[in-house]
This record gives sequence, structure tokens and C-alpha cells, in this order.
Amino acid sequence: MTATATQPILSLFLTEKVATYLQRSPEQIDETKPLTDYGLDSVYALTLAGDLEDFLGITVDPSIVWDNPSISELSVALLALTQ
Amino acid sequence: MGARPTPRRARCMMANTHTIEHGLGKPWDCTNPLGFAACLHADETGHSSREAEARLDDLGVGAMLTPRALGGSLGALDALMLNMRALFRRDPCIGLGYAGSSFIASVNVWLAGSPAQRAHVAEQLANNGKIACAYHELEHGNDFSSAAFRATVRNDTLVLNGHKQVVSNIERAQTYVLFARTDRGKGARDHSVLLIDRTALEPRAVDFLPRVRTSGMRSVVLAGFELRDATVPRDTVIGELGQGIEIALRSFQITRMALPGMFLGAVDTALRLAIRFARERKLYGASILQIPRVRATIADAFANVLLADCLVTVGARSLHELPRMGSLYAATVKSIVPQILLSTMRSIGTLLGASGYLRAGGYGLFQKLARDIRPISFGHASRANCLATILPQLPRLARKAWQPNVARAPRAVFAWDTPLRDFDPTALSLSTGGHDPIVGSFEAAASELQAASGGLAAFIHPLRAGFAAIRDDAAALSPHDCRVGAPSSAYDLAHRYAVLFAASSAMHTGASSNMRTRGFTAQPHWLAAALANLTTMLGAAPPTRGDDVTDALVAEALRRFDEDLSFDFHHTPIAPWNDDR
Repeated sequence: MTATATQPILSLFLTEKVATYLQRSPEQIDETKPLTDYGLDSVYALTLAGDLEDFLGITVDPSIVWDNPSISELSVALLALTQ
Repeated sequence: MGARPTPRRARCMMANTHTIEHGLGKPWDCTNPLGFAACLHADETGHSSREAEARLDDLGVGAMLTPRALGGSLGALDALMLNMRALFRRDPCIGLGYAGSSFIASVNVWLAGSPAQRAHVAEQLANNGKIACAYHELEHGNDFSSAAFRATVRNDTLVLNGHKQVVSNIERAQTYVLFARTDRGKGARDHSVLLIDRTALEPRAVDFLPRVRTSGMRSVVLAGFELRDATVPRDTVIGELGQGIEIALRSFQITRMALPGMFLGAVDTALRLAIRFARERKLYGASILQIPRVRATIADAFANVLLADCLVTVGARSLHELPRMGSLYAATVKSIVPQILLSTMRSIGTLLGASGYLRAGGYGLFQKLARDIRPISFGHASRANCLATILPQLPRLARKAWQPNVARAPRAVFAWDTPLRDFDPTALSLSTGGHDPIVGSFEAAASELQAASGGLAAFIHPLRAGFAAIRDDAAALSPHDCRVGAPSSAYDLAHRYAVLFAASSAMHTGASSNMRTRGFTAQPHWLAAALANLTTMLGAAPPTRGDDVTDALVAEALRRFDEDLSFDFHHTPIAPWNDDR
């Protein structure tokens, strides 16, 4: 990763990824809604953890996605992980 | 499972297999309660006999399933697989019903249970108790994250409501490992695994459901139960509340890897029946062993048994050496090894012809084995389920892991006489982190094997083309193509991945064994046949193999038949089929 991770950057990254998975536009994604409400299951958590590893350059266990169901919760948890 | 790598490990492993084979007694002795006649009788009646169970109790199978730290003998996973294979070689119903289903249940406890829970299960197994794995609900199949059985937290207790179905030994087990919903959501933190003792359930809260009859594994009693407001202490939870799916996914990495390696024993016996049949049968004035088609069937079946053993052994050893790869490699092994074994069983059936259709006599066992082996493909994770686990990982592996100069698998994965690292359950992970040392080193394996055995070049070439194709196709996959509802072409890609995993494992093992040993598996014949079979599985045309390959495989298979040795890589002595021994 080139820039320092901040919560807005992480939220933006997550929103764009989730929108891609769902084939929707980022504006249609509510950051406070549990990802499972969009039909994203445990398989997507694995894909998302992989994409996060590539983006952040650190190991991301998929369980962090399970423990933090919404984009806003997840971005806070990821920020703590990178610091 | 706390393996202690000592140089004596291989010998201990042999001794255990030998002890089990000896304890099972002579297979064709009609008075042996664990002989083939008794096993066929159990199949016809749908019940195992008390004498058979008593003999098995004397073998101390429970200790085999219990880690050394808890007083058992479970160390390396490949050794456990070999010991269990001896039970499956005699009768898959013994393997699964007496031992395998307790193994599947207990792994949850070994991985995540408290010291008290681990000690409890160890004690049950030491006393020949059965542990029932109550995960299944018919409505949800392999989609266990939709499981509806509820455990509701009320103060210091859990209140259980719901049903579990098609569970082995549930009617006689003293202990249940139960998968239950502990929260309402649709996420991965809404289930828990519980360890429940039968005595903790008030009789009025439990209704056992009728037995479910099946076409195979007929002497394994499958049933279910329905609980209504059954109250159990909260400390029955294994690990933490909400960790159920995570514990299940870690446990599956062990059990899904090991089960196909155990079931392989049934194909060993089927191949032995086929060879005896080919030896005895005379048509048109000569033994059918002279017919090229019969020889090719025996050669292929034998090569497939070796290939399957190679894959499950590499898989089991990788759990010790590359534990982070478990989520991917267990799904891969579970998706491809059953396919290899089932197709081998079908071709053996073709060879036996009408004799394989009889329910009694010298070949009556075959139809039972052919039915018993079928759950290998749909039981404990279906093939579709395994391919769906592999699929979403492929695009990232194509980008990161299938490139030149990536890290290779440790030598001990393919050089089986090298002591293994201790198994570290905490190193099992839910994702591989984008690594894949076995398929990532496909090109290296191909080059090394080709350098060692130039004659194999024609067999390696089409697989190399297959590897190049999958790398391009996987890189082009979108996340949308990786869902459970992905197009079938995407599932085909996951299948091709599994074939290339098999090819890379076989080539690495072959190159490694070629350098260090002198036995039959150090020769290129089995690899030529195995790689040709994998090429067919890839959907490509295999190169024509020479008569020398078939002749060498048939000669070795006949030798092993005559000397009562197993057909797998380990050629271990088995209880004698031949009366004069």
C-alpha cells in the first residue's frame, strides 16, 4: 500500500469492493448495513480478506469480516490492525 | 495432534497397521465375526453383530483416535489414515460406523475444546464409547450455516430446540458434538458447537427419530433426535459462543483430508477381488489375464490406487508442514480423490461382470463395497461444496502464487521418510493468504521429473498445457463468477485446478522417490499411467502408453496379491487372503 491507511480510505476501498461483488454502484451501498443483508456470505468474506491483504500488505484473517459485519465497523477494526 | 517426529515413526506406523490387520483376523474364515462372510451378513441384516463389536473393542480403536497428550496414540495424520484404512479394507461399515464417525466428531473437541471436554471425550473413546456428530439437518444439507437447531442462552444455561437427522450412532452414543444456532443473524458468528453428554438430557426432552435406511453402509445405524426445551449447562459450548462455523471449518480441514484416505481401503479390497477373479476365470480356453482389456483395467485400477494414496498422503503431510494451506488443500483432495476412487470401482465392476452383481459367494462382497463407497463423494462435504470452496481462491492464486520462483513446499511433504513437524492446530487458517506451494511449483515439478525420467516427457506435456490454460482462465475470473451460483464453466475451472494439484503432487512425489528409493513406486510406470488418467480428467487426449507400462503394473499388482500386501504406496502386509500363508 502506498498511502497511510485512514478510516475514510478503508471505507472507500471496502465500499468499492462490495459494490463490485454485487455488481452495483458504490452509492447503493450503505456503510452501516451488515454485509450479509446484501447477500454476501462467508465465501465473500474470504474473497474480501484476500483483497484486503493485497491492498494493505498485511495478513487479514477472514474472521475479522465476520466479527465486524458492516463496512463502518470493519474499517475501524482494520485501522486498528494496521496500526 | 502433537506428533512427535522420531526416526522410528514409520516402523511404529507399520506395527499399528499390522496389529489391526491381525486383530481383524483371516478375512475368508467363515467363523470369523469380522470376516467377509460376517460383514456381508451384517449388510443383509442391517446390523453389526455383538461379536464383531466386541472384537473391535479389544483392538483399542478409540485410543487410535485420541491424541498422545490425552493418553492415545494419535500423532501424525498420515499414520492415522493408514490405520483407519485397514478397517475400511475389511468393511467400510466398520471403518465409518465403528470409528470414522467418532473421529469426525472428536476432531472438533481436540481443536477447540476445554481441557475438561478433551479429557471427557478421551475417556469415552478409551471405553469404546461412540461420539455422534450431530451437525446434519435434512433441510439444509451441506449449507450448514443455515442450520436451524436452536440453542438459546438463558442465564447459565442453554435451552435446546430442534432436530438433527441422518447422524451415525446417535441412538447409542453417550456423547454428542452438536452444531446449533445461537443467534438469529445470517452471518458466520451465529452458530456454536456444543459437547453434550446423553445423561445431561432429561428423557422427557428427547425424542429419537426413526432410523434412516440407505442403499450402502447398511449396517451403520443412521438416525436423529428431536429436542424440546432441553436445558444444558452453558459450559457445554466448545470454544466460544458464536465460534461454531469457524471451528467447523478448521475441523473439516482435517476430516475432509483424512476420510478419502481411509475409504481407499475399500478399493484395495475390490482390486484384490478383481485380481483373484482374473486369475481364476478362464474363457475361450485361456485365463482372462491374457486379454489386453482386462490387463489394462487392472493396471489402471492399481495406478489409481497409488495416485489416490499419493494425494491423500501429500494432503495429510501438508497439514503438518503447510497448515495454512488446509482450507484449500482439504477441499481439493476431497473433490478429486473420491472421483478417482469411484471411477476405479466402476471399472472393476465392469471387469467382474455378472460375478460382481451377485450377493453371495466369493465375489458377493463387491456389490456391497460398490454401494458402501458412494458416500465418499457426497458425505461430509459434497464435491460441489468443495469446488465452491476452491473457486473464489483461484483468481488471487493465479496472480500471486502460480508464478516462477514462488516458495516451494517443504521436502517432508513429498519425501515421506522425512520426519514431520508436530501438527499445530492453532496454525490452521480460514484462508491461504494467497499462497499455493504445491500447484505454484507445478513447472518445477514437471522439469525435475522430466530430467529424472525422460520417458515421461510425453505424459507431462499435456498437463503443462493444462497448467498454462488454467493460469490464464483463473486470472480472468471476476468475483461474481466465484459465487455459489457461479456459471458451470467456473466450476470446471475449480475441477481442473484439483487435477493439476494431483499432477503436481504425483510428479513431486515421483521425482523425490526416484532419487531416494528403489521400490516399484520409484519406477516411472505408475506415474505414466496416473498422469495419463489425470490428462483424461482434464478433458484432453492422453498419450498412448506402451505395453511395458501395463505389464509392469500388472506384474506388481499380481505380486502384491500373492504376497498379501496392500496396493497403496505403503505396500503393508495385510491379513492373509491366501490360505497357505
